[in-house]
Amino acid sequence: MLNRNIKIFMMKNQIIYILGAVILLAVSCKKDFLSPPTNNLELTPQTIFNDEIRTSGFLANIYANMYNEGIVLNANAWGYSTMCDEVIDPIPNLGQAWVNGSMNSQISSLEDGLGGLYVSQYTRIRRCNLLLKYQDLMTFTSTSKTQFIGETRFLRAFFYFELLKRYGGVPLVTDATDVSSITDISKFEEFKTNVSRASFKRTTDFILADLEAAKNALPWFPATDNDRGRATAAAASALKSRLLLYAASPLFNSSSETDTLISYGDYDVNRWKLAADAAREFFTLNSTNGNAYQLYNSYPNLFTAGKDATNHEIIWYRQNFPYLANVFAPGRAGSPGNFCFDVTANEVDLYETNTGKTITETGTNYDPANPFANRDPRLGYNVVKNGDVFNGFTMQLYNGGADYSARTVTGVFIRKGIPANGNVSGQKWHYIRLAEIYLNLAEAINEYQGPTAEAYAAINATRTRPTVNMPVVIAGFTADQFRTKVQRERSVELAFESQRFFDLRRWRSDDLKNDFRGYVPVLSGSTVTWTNVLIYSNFFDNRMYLYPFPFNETLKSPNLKQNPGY
Amino acid sequence: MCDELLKSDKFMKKMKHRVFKRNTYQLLCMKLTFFLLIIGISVSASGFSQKIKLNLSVKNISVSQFLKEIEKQSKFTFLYKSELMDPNLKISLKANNIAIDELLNKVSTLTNTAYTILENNLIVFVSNDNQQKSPIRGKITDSQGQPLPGATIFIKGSKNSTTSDIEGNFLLSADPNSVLIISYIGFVTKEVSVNNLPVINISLEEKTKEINEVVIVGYGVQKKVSVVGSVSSVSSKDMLQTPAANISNTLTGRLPGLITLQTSGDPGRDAATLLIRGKGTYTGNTGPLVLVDGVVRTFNTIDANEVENITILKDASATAVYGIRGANGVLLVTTRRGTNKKPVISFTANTSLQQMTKVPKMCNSYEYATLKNEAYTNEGKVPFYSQQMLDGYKNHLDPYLYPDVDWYSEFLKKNSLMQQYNLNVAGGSNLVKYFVSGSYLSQDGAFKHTKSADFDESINFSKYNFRSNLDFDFSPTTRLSVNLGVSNYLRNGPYTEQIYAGQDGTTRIFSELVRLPPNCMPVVNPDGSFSLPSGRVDKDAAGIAGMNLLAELTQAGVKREYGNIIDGSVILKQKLDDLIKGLTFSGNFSMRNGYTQTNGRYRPVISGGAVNNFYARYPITGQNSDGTYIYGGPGSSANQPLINYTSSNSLMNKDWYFESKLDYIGNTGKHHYTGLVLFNSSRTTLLGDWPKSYMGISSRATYDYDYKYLAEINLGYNGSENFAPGNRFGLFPAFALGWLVSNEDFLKDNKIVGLLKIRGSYGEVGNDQGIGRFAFFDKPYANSGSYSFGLTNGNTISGYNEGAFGNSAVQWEVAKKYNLGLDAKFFNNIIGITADLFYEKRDHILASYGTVPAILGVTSGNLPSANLGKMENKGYEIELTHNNTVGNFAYWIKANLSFARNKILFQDEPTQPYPWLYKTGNPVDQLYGLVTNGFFKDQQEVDAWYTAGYSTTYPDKTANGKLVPGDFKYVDQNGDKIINNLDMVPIGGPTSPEYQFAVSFGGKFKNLDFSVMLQGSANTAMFVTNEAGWAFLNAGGALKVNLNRWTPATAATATSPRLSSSPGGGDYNYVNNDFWIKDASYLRIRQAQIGYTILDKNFLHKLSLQSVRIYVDGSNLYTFSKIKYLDPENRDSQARAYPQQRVFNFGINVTL
Repeated sequence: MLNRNIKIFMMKNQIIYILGAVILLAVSCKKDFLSPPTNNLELTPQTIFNDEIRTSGFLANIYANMYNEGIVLNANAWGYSTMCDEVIDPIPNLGQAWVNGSMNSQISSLEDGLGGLYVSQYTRIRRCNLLLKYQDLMTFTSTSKTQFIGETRFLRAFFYFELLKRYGGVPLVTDATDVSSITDISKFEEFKTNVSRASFKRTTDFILADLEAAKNALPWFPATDNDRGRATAAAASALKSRLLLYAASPLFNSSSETDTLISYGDYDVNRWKLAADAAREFFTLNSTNGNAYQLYNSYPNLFTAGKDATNHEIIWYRQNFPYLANVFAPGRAGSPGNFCFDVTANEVDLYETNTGKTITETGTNYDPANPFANRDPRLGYNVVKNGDVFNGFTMQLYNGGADYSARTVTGVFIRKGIPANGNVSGQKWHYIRLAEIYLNLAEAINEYQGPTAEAYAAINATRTRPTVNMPVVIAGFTADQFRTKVQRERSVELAFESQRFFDLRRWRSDDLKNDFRGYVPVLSGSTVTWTNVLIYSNFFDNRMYLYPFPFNETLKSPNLKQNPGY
Repeated sequence: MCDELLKSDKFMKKMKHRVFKRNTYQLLCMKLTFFLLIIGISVSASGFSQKIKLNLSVKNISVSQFLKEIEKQSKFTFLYKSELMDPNLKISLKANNIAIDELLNKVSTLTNTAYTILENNLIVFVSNDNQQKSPIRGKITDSQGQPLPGATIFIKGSKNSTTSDIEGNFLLSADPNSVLIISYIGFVTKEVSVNNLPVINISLEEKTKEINEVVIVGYGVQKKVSVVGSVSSVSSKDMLQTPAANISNTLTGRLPGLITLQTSGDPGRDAATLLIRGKGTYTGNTGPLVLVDGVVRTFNTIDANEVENITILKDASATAVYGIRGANGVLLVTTRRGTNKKPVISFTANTSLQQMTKVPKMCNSYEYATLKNEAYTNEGKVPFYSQQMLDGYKNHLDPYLYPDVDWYSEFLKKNSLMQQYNLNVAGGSNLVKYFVSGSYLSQDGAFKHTKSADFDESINFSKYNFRSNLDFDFSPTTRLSVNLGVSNYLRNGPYTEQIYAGQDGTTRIFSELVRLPPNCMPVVNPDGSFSLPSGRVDKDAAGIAGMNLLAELTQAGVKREYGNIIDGSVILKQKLDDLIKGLTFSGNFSMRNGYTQTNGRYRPVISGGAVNNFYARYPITGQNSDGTYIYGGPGSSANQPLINYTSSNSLMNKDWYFESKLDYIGNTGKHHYTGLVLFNSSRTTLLGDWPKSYMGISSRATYDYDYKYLAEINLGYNGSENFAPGNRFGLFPAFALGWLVSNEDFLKDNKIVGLLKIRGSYGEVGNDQGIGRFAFFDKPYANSGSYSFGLTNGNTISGYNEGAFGNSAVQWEVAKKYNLGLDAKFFNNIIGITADLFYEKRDHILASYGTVPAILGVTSGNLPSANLGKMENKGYEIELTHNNTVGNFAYWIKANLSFARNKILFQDEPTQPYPWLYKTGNPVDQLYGLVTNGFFKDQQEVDAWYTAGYSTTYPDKTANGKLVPGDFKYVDQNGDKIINNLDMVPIGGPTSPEYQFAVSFGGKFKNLDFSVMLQGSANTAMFVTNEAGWAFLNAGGALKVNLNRWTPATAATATSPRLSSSPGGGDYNYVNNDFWIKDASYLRIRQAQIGYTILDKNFLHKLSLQSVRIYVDGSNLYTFSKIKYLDPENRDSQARAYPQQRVFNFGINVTL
């Protein structure tokens, strides 16, 4: 009897254990045990684009991710200069691919290292498309909405133009595709198959439409100093001038090229007229807006004094972008720059003598023994060479000199944009400045109707800047002669500003075939003499007029047509 | 009942202290003795006296008293001379049914007499002086050291024998050259030669066919005989043969199916990467799920002395209970527990010398300068060093003007010290069983010159471990276990993050050791200031290596990492036999608290200044005519006296785990069955993160008929937070069948085959790793880069951007696993074989899309994940064991071989123009490169190549951008005459080895024991690029192997290409190719040990010790590999990983 009772008691106990276990189990089996966090303040398109401040933040993020055009090749400014005949990278780098013929679609750094942009640019374009897609949600102040949309359309045009000048016609993405569609296999395949390039003309027209819209929506000059850095109608107008200049240039506007993906497929002189009109339009609008944009007086300070309120020359720029002092820093002032780019003789020879004649013309004061004497003052502003005083030291860049290093290939380095004291804070990268519009105008008019007085006035505008003071170009040139003159002026004025690499290509210039030479200082006794030496021979193939689409992208999308020759 | 009580001497003692007063105890004893004497000795009525059996229990009585007792309880009468029975000889005995002649043997042995049984039960003892016999004492134990009472000890060739007493002790008189035969039920009979030894301790091996032997399986144990899954295990005894700081490195070569790769020997960071059966997936985590005592935990911080056993579960049958997390295999760590016996205290001390297995050998200054000039000449440049400089280096003219520093030997110690101590106590009573262990490890690193006035930057790792595993048996059916494991560590090391952001001290310093050219500077200047590379010596080095390593090591700062992990478990186990016989419920609640923090004290970088600006350095730029040296300007402004303090990288986690389980074990006749149902849930909370959770149900049912036909079903049903509701939970089934052929009647009495088991399994397991958390929903818009508008960039607007995209359809990966296995033992179990053949197909591999066109505009990190990939993995494991005893020599040999080869069957990869470019169809870790075909031997050959229309897209950095003699000739795979990435083919084995094998053997001869393991890997490759292979990279130094470079003179014999002054990864000669991809197979003497056990009982007794063993051992003693100058497991192509350690160890283990 007792035993039985104990047994029952124990059974009860066990049942309690089991019940306990079951309860524990039930408690732990809460439905939301595996649930993700809930966020009441979740940011959705609705809560972003309904809100003026957040929308402006979304837009600011597009600006923040703008491509630092000067930065290619291991994050050095002036990278495009190493890809053409402006400078030599003493540690031959990726840029050499553009001068020794090894540029191809499989270079893994095609995207970032060489500024190919194809992949990253579409993420910027997607952000623009997102903002435009959700414009109906913007129920706040309509002036703000107009401003945001105008800036976004400018940015999208700017992004597409950067693709256009590298690739020709590209796929035009005008909507932010819903990503969930790619998780559906059939839709995904369709999406990949549908990737194909728009013609050059369609791409150009699309950019033009965005620019026109932006120009109509935005103020000519930023309303306040706090708005500097925002896209303006002037930026849209200036980019339009550059776009149409490029479109009219021989690379895209030629009877010998029939491929409509990479050109118009024919030649039409009126394209030069459109380019000239676009430049004229800029000046017209500028004057109706009280000449808000003007040439800055000091050519050297134009690049180093980023926060000067009187600097009204820069039309469209990247904020807070230092030109990087270590592009050149002499040995004695610390460790030598890691990326000392050596300026070529090709670049030095472009500068006229201070008589306004080129060094090869007769009757100049050019001294081959001292090629830097009596030259266009911009040569001195743009380069630092042996014998120059920099940061308190007189440069010794000859072999055995105090500032010579294994990285010294020539005796000449970039000085443009580099303050001697090394303080680069607050600098801006100039995408477009007023001097270019003058040169756009001069070039376009000459091609359309020859060197008119308007063309001479335009080319002389940059030459007569107070710190430059070069003799004016006097009428009497043929169209061909003027073309040479304006191209040379452009290369000198805009040296190292990521222009010559693209200019040489759109001009289909013979300079693309030049070998790379350099002026090398040689110390004999106590005097230094300059020797013009061959640094390396050049290679150019017709495929190198344009960038290759990344190889992987052409594999992903069978209908993405590769550029010729790659 | 009293008999039972008396059996346990310990119990009596306990009773004495606990319950009874002294006199009560004595009274009780007397009563008991009386009781025993009355009923305990029963005399057989048989007329044949020898066969008479007695039950006897006496303690510490003299021989004559003993004989009197026998007289009292039997019909026998003894006759002897009183001097024959020394009154000091005492006898203790407790035996049931003991034969009278056995008792008499005892007496005769003890007293050195002989006896004769006369008529009328009269027994006469006489002196035995004429016989050459001597007393032999000893102790019989099992392999665990537990005494075996009642074992029979025969003298070979005679009828003399005895049995061991309750403590396993025996005493026997025998010829000093005789052989003893020891037998005991359930144990293998053993023969031992006496060899003049007075004391012989003998341990017997359990018969492995022992039906009750169990192995550890998922969520429990299973009888070994009935296991049908693929399981391997290793005991800590084996693991402890390898002296290593980290427990993961003691597993290498021990477990067939486990692939290990130890890529670093850095103290505190030297854990091996573990893979069970290679890699089954190409994304995410490929390592096994690790559980310590049934709870998911990391185990690298555990001390090996705390571990009983480590088991790996390989096939689906074994891992299905882990369901959604079981696909990569499971590693189970079981820690030690106490048993019901008196406390055994064990103390182990190890002192080791550590050496680097391999460090690169660098060129000296003369070699370096000569090579550098050659590189310049190769590229059409003027040589950098003048003949005068070369002569200076060659003749070591001046240590300051012509420095020649071997940075490795300057900054690395030859030997560094490691010490390990462990003290543990195991024991228990009927009520409580305990295992308590404490360990201390102190491991020094390799750096010299670490001390300065403010810091000691030496690498030093110390770790304390504490573990306490307690089992309380409240009732025969209720056990409460409390486990506590604590690990606390501190790592001291250099703080160099100030110099190279994010580059850890060890990495930084090793990277400098390999990079600094020997001539770039002296370590210190003649005036004692820190030196600096001067352009006079090497301008290149001045550009990149603008620091002083000594200054960095002593001036930068110190970093201390503190870590603390506390694991606790409470487990309640309740037998429910009353409800259903064989049913047990258990509940487990476990917690873990982990905390790590990094504290740094460092000199700050001057704001806005260059890096490493906190100490002054001066280059020597020349020498004055009076012999004094000319110093250049300081490399930085000044010393920074301020010491900043930083505390960072705090990592805190709080985990808990809950499990409730019902276990069932039963049988009906020859039908045996077990069952398991288990619910568990777990939550890991990292500071600042949403907790990670899992929950699920697991179950298992096994059945066998007469231990012949085995069947098993395992089910896991569990869920992961990574998937959307509705996709969260998955069912993972596995089935297995086995046939124990050796238990069939036709093999039962077979002399050759001891065991033969065939087993097969199929099952599905899952993997939820490889994607981000909560990958099923779109992430919201989030803050992203801001932009500063305004003239002065002062108008900053914080940005927003679109978030990552989810895929609501994502689910776990599914691994379908097949396994076929065989276990066999032959020739009285001295030869054993275990072999497994496996095939796995992994489907729905969680991966991101690889073919999304860029124009979508979503960065790859923000693209949704999907169940895209397919892979297969197949291979085998074989283990052979042999153990035997020949005379006094017991030895064992083990050999195992593991092979696993995986293949990607599908990954979202674009259509490639050539088949060799696909990743699909190759192993996960496959390397790709160009195929070389010798070198261009002269300019003619180069010219001919160009004339034939060949070109390359890789820059060669020569004067005219063209190739030169001494460059590689590459095979143009696609025949397009362009050498480019399209010519890259799979080269060599994958980076993780496909084969891993080990042969180990050991033995025991009297006091000596030894063990050796040879271990290796094969079918594996690594990049020997960058600093690990190239001269002058980033203005760095040159390796000795670079002396084999191509020159016109050595064109026929050169093994590496002509030198370049500044090699780069995309350059023609330095692009990935089959020269820079090296075979990383290796064979190591992984471990060797010699031990000496002190058997002298008197000696031990004097010191109150049970046993003392001293041993000398080592790990990584020698390595054979094709890569001579780097450790082949050290997969860093920049040669900046801390090499593995070669360890020489001296240890002592004392048990009391």
